[in-house]
Amino acid sequence: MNTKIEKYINSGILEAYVTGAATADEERLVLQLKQQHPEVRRALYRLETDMELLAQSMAILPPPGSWDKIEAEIDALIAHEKPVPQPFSERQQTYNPPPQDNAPGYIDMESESNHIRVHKAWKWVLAAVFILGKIFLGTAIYFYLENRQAQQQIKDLKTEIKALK
Amino acid sequence: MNQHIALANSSSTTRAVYDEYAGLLLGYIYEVVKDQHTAEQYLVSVFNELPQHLHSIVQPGANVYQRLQLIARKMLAGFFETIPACNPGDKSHLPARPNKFLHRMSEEEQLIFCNIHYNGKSISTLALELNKPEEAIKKILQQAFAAIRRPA
Repeated sequence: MNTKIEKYINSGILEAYVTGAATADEERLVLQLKQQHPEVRRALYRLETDMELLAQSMAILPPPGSWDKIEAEIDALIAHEKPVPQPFSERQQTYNPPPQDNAPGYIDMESESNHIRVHKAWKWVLAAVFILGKIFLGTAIYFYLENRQAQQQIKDLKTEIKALK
Repeated sequence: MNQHIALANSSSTTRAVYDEYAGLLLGYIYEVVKDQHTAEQYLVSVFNELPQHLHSIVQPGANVYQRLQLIARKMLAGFFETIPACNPGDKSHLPARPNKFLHRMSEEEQLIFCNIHYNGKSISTLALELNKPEEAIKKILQQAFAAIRRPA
């Protein structure tokens, strides 16, 4: 093992880092050396395991309601999360020349849509036509029934007249 | 929309981390604040903060518990200032519940470990308070860790 690294590991700085007692500069150096030297990585792993072992021996089961409080907070965060507006950027208007005949990359095709576009004013006209249609239909049914009843009455009267004769 | 998905995913990851480590962290916080209700409040606060730190916590090579403990330590910074320093000869600075690992340490190791781990002091602050060089404090802290590993 590199003597310098061995000295560094044995200085107690890694223990300070693991407990959060090291300075910001010391933390940066530890992380840098962790990347460069497997010995530092192994030593840190061992210390982190020690801390976890100590924590396990003193663990307390959280009360059942704790997670609900955390979840409610996260859910509220999700509910209130709004899309971040994109910074304004002016679109660059560039001149695109019209495609020339026989220009490669363009295919002529006919497009056909099943929908028609009408002016909004037609909405009221169509509504009026629909309502009037309903009124005419109702009136026609009414007069048809009236007519049928009148025919029946005439028929009855004729029968009565015949009977009187 | 992608933020929404990320948040939704972070919720499930936070739950997984909670299931695994909440008990360990609550045990640590309790030994700092010495009150069940306050400890639970700090625990909830740590996990509410967690989605912001998930990237660094779950990255390969990172120790999840150690990262959680550092978040808790930062949150407890204000509380650390309100508690008295661990006092040599006064056993009240030790965790409220007996712990086999801490009992393996010498009094000096317990004092340094307690001041750093449960009282949130930095090496430099402790060195000033105890009138010792920082190197000496680090060395004693290292011995305290060796004591945790020492067979009973």
